[in-house]
Amino acid sequence: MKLPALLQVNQLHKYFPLPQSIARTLTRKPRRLVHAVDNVSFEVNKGEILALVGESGSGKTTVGMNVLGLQIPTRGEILFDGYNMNDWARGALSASPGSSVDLGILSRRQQILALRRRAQMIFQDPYESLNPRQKVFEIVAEPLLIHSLAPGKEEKEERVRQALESSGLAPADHFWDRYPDGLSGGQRQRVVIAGALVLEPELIFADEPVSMLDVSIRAEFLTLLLNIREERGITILYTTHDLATAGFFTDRMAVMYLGRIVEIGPTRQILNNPIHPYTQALVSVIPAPNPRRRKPRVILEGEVPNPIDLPSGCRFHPRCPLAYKECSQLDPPYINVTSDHKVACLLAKPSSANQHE
Amino acid sequence: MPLMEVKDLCVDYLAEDGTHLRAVENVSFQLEHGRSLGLVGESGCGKTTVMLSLLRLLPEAGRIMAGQVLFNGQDLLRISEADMCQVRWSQISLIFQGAMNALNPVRTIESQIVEALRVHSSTNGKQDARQRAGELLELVGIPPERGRQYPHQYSGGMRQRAVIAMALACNPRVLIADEPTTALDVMIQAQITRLLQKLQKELNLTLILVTHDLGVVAEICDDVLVMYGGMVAEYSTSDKIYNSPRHPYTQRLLKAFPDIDNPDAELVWIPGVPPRLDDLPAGCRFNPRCHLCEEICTQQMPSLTAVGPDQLVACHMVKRGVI
Repeated sequence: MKLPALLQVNQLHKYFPLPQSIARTLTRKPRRLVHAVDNVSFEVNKGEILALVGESGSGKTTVGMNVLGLQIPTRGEILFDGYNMNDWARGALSASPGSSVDLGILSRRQQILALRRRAQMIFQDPYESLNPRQKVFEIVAEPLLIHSLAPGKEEKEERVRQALESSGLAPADHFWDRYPDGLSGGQRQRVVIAGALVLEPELIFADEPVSMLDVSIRAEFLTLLLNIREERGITILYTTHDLATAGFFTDRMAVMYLGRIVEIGPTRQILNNPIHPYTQALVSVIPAPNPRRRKPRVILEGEVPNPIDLPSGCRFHPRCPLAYKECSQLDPPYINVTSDHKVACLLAKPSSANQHE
Repeated sequence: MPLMEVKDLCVDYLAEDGTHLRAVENVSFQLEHGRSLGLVGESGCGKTTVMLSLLRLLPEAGRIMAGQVLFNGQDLLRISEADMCQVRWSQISLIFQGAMNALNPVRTIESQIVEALRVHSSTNGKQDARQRAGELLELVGIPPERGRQYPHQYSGGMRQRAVIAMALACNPRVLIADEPTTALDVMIQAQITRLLQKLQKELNLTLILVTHDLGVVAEICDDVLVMYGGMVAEYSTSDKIYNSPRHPYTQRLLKAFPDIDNPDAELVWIPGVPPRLDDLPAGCRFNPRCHLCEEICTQQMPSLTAVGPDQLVACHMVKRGVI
C-alpha cells in the first residue's frame, strides 16, 4: 500500500521583485520580477530521497527554502504532513486538517518551532556555516536550547552524543570540546549534520552538501546520508548539479531548468533513458573516470539565461540543439513517458517508443 | 630532451617557531613539449606547493630546499629573479585557483589583459596591446567587444575564460592551471574542459593541470602524477593510471569517484584525512589509511620503483607482489 506523501508541492511559484529605479516608479512601469520558481509540482514520500538537479539559477535552492518555510511562496501550496507550510511558517494554522495532532491550538511561535523541529537543513559550505567561536558541543546542542528540549545536562549530553555518533563523529566526547577550526572539511560537515539530526527531524533539505568536499570523502558522506535514512526513516531533499552523485544514492530525481521541472522520474530510469534534451546534455557531460571511455558530449553553449526576461515557449529552446519552430511558441505540457516518469518537451512521445532511442 | 623536468624537488614551510615542515619531498617528473600532465591528490597533499615552486612563487614561509626545475635545459631555481620574471607569463603561465574571483572589479577585462601584455611582453603601443587583447578574448570564445565590460558583468564561466585569455597573453609554452574547473557548474566545466583541449591543440601548449577532479584529468591529460602526503605515490600514463592503478591510494581514489556507467559498483572511500605536515607518520605516509598496511609500511619509506614501462609506484606491497 502506498503511504500518503510526506511532502506535496502544488504549483509552487516564487518571484522576487527587482529593485526599482525612480524613473520606472514615476513612469509607473510594472515592477520587474525574478522568476526563481515558476509552477513547480512534485511530491516526496516518507523515507524517500529526491534529488533536485540543475545548474545555478535553476531555482532548486529556492524550492528547498520554500519547502522549509524559510520563504513564503508567491503562489501555490506546499503540504507537509497534511499541513499547509505557508500558514505554518507564518504561525497561522487554524484547525487540524486531518492530521492526528492539532497544531492550531499552539501559539504563533510554538507553531513555527514545531515546524522547524520537523524539517531541517544541511548547508552547502561547512566552512561558513559553523560559528568559529562555538565548540562542537555548543553548536550541536544549540537547537535543543532553542526548542527547549532536553533541559537536563545528562539528557542533553546523551542527545548530542547520539547525534554526533550517528553523523560518524565517534566517540563523541573526543570531538565535542573542539572548535571548528581544528576539524577537517568532512568533519565540519558532519557537525552540520549532527546539528540537524539532534532535533530528530522527519525531513532534511541538503543543499549541495558535498560540493565543497574532496572526491575521496564524498562517497563516505553520501553513504552516511543513506544510513541516516535507513535508521531513522528521514526523507531527504538533495540539491546538486552533479548527476553522478545524485545517481548513486537518490531514489528519484527532478531536473530543473529556469524555475521549471523539465523531467522527473526514478533516478536510474532518467540516467539510462533521459528524454528531455537538457537532461540528455547533462547526462552526456558526466565525466567518465577513464580515458578509454571519452565519449561524445553534448556541450550546451552559453549559460542559463537570467530569470527576469524569460524566453517564450519552452524556456530551454534558445540553447536546445533540437529546437524547431514550435518550441519558441508553445510552452510544453508534461507528458508521461512511463507512469512515474514525466517530461516537458514537445519532442517527447507518450509511449514506450522512447525506450529505444 | 623534455621541455620541463623536475628533479627531486623538496620544499619546506617554516613554522612560527622556526622549525621546518616538509611539504614536498623528492618529487620528480618530466614533460615533453605538447603533452599534458595531471597532478592529482586530495587537499593538503602538496599539489599546489609543487606548482608554485615551479615558478618560484611560494608564500613567504616556503623554502625550496633541494632539487632542480629544468626548463629548456636551464635550472629555474638557479637563475636570477630578473631572469625569472622573463620566464613567468611569457614562457610558463599560471592560472591560480579561484583567479576568476580575483579579477580587479573596477577595471575592464580588456584593460587587465593589456596590463599583463605591457608588463610582460614587448608589445609597446597601447593600440597593439588592445588589438591583441581582442584576439585573445576571441580565442577563448568571448566576443571582443565585451572586453570593455567589467568583471561583474561576466558570468562565472566567462570570467574563467577571461582568466585563461590573460594567462595566454604572452604566448607561453607551458600553461599551469590550478583547479580550473572546480566551483563551476557542470555544463560550464564541460565548456572549460573543451576550451583547454582546443587551446592545447591549436597553440601546441604543454599543460599541467592541478586538480582533485579525476574526471577532468581523464578527459584531458596524457600523464598523471598522484601525490600523497607531499610525495609521489604513483606516476604513469593516464591510460595505466585509470585502467591498471597499482598504488592502493590511486586505486581507492578512483573507486571513490562515482561512475555513472557502472551504478552498481560499490562506492568506497578513504577513511581519515591526509597527514598534517607537523605529524607525518613513520614509514609510508599512507599507512594509517591503507587497508593493506603491514609492519614494514610503518617502518620504512617505500621508494619509487618502476613496475612496468612508464609506471612508477611507491608501495611496499606492490614490490612484494601483494597487489
